[in-house]
Amino acid sequence: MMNCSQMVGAGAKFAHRLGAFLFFLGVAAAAPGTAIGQSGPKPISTAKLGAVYAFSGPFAIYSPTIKNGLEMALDELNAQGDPKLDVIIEDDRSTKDDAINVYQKFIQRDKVLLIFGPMIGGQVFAAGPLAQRAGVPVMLTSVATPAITKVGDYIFRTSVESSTVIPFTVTAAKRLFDTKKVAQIYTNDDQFSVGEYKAFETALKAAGVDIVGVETVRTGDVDFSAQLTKIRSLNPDTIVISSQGQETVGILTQARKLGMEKIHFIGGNAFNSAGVIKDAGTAIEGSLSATPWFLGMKHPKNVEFVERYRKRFSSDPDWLAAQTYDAMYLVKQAIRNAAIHEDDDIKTARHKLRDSLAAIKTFDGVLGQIRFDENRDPHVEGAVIKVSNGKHVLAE
Amino acid sequence: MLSQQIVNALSQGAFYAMFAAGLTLIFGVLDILNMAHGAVFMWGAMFSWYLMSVLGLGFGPALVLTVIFCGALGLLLEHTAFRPLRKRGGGHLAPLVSSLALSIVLVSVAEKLFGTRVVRYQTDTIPFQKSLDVGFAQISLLQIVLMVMALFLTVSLWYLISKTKLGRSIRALQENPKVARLMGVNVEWTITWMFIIASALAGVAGAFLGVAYNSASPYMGHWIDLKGFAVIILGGMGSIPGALLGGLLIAFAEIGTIVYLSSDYRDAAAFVVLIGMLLLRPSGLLGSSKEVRA
Repeated sequence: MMNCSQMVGAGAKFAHRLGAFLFFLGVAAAAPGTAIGQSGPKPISTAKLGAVYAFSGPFAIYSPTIKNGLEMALDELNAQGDPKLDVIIEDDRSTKDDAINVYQKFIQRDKVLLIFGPMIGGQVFAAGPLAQRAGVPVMLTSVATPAITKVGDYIFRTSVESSTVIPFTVTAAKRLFDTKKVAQIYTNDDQFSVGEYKAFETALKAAGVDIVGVETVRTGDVDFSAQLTKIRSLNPDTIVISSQGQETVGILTQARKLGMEKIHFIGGNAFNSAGVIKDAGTAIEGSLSATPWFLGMKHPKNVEFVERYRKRFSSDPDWLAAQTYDAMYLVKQAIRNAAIHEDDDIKTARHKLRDSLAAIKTFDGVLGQIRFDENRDPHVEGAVIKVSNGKHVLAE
Repeated sequence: MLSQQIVNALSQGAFYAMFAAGLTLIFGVLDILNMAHGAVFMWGAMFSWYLMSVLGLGFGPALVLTVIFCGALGLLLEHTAFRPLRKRGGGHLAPLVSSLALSIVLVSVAEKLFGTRVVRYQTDTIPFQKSLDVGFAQISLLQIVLMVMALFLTVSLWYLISKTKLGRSIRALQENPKVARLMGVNVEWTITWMFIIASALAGVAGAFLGVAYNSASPYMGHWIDLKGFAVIILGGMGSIPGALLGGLLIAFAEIGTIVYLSSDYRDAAAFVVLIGMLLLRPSGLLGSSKEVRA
């Protein structure tokens, strides 16, 4: 009895398979033009790409806008016609280990043409060399770590190093605050902050601003009164802060408490964060900083992008969404230019895509006019922004 | 500028003293480095932040509840990390490791409950915000309250140890646990109370630090642990007045370094002072040396 029922099952399965086979034959016969008719190499109709970001773990707070930017660009690009982009999205749980695992999967199993991500510089230093060795192009859309493209010539990015826009902050401060004498304060055990501090120092010297004092703090410090008291005695008109968010908030509020109410503040990337503005409250009012991208930038591509994004996700995009969105368009353009054929093996296809990406020197995107230097690093004009009534506005 | 820096150093020193008082109590009597002291301190800040900013309590009630809560944490600490090992007669290393483990658990629970970001108090819930310009310096009411509190707590702790029955038991225990037990001292009970008192002190320090700098995070215990060890070594291990003196000295060394050298060497200063002390007087400023005690 048991055998009988099994036989019935097997019979049904066979019929199903036969049906599928016949259907396949029918489709193949009905579309001869695409399969047999053409002669010569045919461009690919679908490009398989991988994207790996931190969708869980401590960095996951940054990933929603990245995913939104990616999906929005993907839908728009696929509606524009061939080659279609097929993006496999994976989570690395904010770890280096999983970034490596996903990279291996993308490179060997999925055989993708290009990889987007991961999110954090440390992960790229860990996983990037795998792609470099295998000859797979990588497009980073969130890593602002200096010299990350030194990992190899297959590493590209649309994520702008925030220190490259710092000189614009200094010129704006000279114009708006009439800044002449500054004191700098920075976190000396955080590489990012040290980078910003040095960029400010160079820009300030180039602009002929007098640096009267330099003080340092450490990551996790909560008491800055001694450094600020020392700065106060030097009587600068502006204080330049290069620290991460939590220290920046502490420095700003304690400076005001120590009676430095009239003094101006300018700063780096931390000043661009909505969380810092909220936590620092009135202490940060009127302060200046520069950002590679700003919601209120007025060039048409950005206005359109912000409008469409808000309509689709009912929230505001951030710089990560903008960088990821531009990266998708850039990659599609590169794939088109690369003239990759169906019968190219994966190695050749990847190589063609790399050369094609490297050949793009300027790109008009949501970030504005992006210029890529000889290290494949992007440069933009950016925008100088000011805190006004607890919100960022363009500083004019 | 100098008078302002003295105010800065005094309030910084008050924190160090409050934190180190509990640490030195445990270390001086039991010869155990309690690595979870910083985690309890952090919980003092996070718990009072939660009461004030989420549940909307005032600072006073929040402080009282925090003292009770951190005292309970001390009880937990004693029962999970120290007592089981003491029963088995473990040496000095085992309790150090088990308290380190418990501190990791405490930090992880805080991460899970409160997130990994720095939390801020709602500005209107912060007490004693008024800042006084006393001519030579800006000093906030909170700083004055803090200094008075640190002085009051260390003095009462010193009184507790030198004048009360519990204090007599603690001193007997410090002298020789076995003999103390023979003389009728309830050793387990005494040790439990020591942990409760030490942890409650850490909780008060945490709650004050949180409001003073409007900042609390699950990781705030890490840096103060190290400073705390420096303070108790400098002041003399087991000496309560030593914790106060050591706290102030470390704070003045740090701020003096910022004023006269550079803020780059701030942390180095504390530890240079520490190494100097270890070379010149290993028992600390107010500590009594082991040889004398034995």
